[in-house]
Amino acid sequence: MQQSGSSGSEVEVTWEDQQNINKFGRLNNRLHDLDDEIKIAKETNESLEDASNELILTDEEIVRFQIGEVFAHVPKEEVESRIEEMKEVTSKNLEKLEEEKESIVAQMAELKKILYGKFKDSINLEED
Amino acid sequence: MSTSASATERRGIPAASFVEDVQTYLSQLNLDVNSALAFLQERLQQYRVVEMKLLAQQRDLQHLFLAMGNLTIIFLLIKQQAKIPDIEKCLDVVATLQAKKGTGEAIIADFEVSEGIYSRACVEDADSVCLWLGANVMLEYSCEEATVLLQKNLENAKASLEVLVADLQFLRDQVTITQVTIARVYNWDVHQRRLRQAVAATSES
Repeated sequence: MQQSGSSGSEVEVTWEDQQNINKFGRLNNRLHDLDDEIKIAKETNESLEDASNELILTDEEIVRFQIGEVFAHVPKEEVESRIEEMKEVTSKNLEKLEEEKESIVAQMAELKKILYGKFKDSINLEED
Repeated sequence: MSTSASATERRGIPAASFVEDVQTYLSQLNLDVNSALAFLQERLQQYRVVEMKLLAQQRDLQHLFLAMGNLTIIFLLIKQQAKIPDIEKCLDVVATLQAKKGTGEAIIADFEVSEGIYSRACVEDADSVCLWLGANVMLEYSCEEATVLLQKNLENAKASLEVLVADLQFLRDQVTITQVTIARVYNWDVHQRRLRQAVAATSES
């Protein structure tokens, strides 16, 4: 996001405008962070899916399940339920992140309207 | 959101003062346009340096790679500056130990002795765990005490993360204000030049 002034324009920047610009910048940052977090959450979800598929295919009774840094020998059923739990946690997390992202995108659109309204060409709020 | 029109600094980071009117600002600073622009640019640079530092610290706390420390079921190693996911993993291990304690079965686990080499351990009855506190110190705790200690560390780490995030937001705001001020000073200067040229043109004609 850049603020580039066109030469010679005299629209004054009030403290309120500055705060709007600041808020837009903060939201933009949070949006990028959110995108990264969403990506990671989706990958975790996929890994858990793969893991539970592998589980179904395997015929061993004892599965080495990673707890912390070690692999504990755990009976298959317990591993299944653990993976189910983890999947629920990650999908809930993903939902929360997607919701937050939607709200931020909406707020940013609002701010864009206000700022473009006042400054028209004197301000650039697009991603470069 | 922040209402700090009056905050002059935060944790060592100077606040960028908002400029109501460029003319007044320049005369208050007692600088000509170019020096003012240079000063603002320098401020911007300083902000960027601090931002880099804070971002690195934040990444450390949020670090998600699974290869930190060496945990076995018998010895739990956590560094004092441990990352949040690592502390959560430790809590997980202690909780598992406590759960298994009731059943009386032994836990068999494979742990890494060295890269690519794993060994098997049999943990009979986990009454206590050892926590690595850093500085070559390891203490033995009962499962409950260990849980309490780890929880406390987790909360501290999360609190530090929050403070860091707030710092970064503050910093970002100051950077934005400074950028806008630079643009406005520059525009004002261009405007002044235009006016002077116009005056010169009319006085010649």
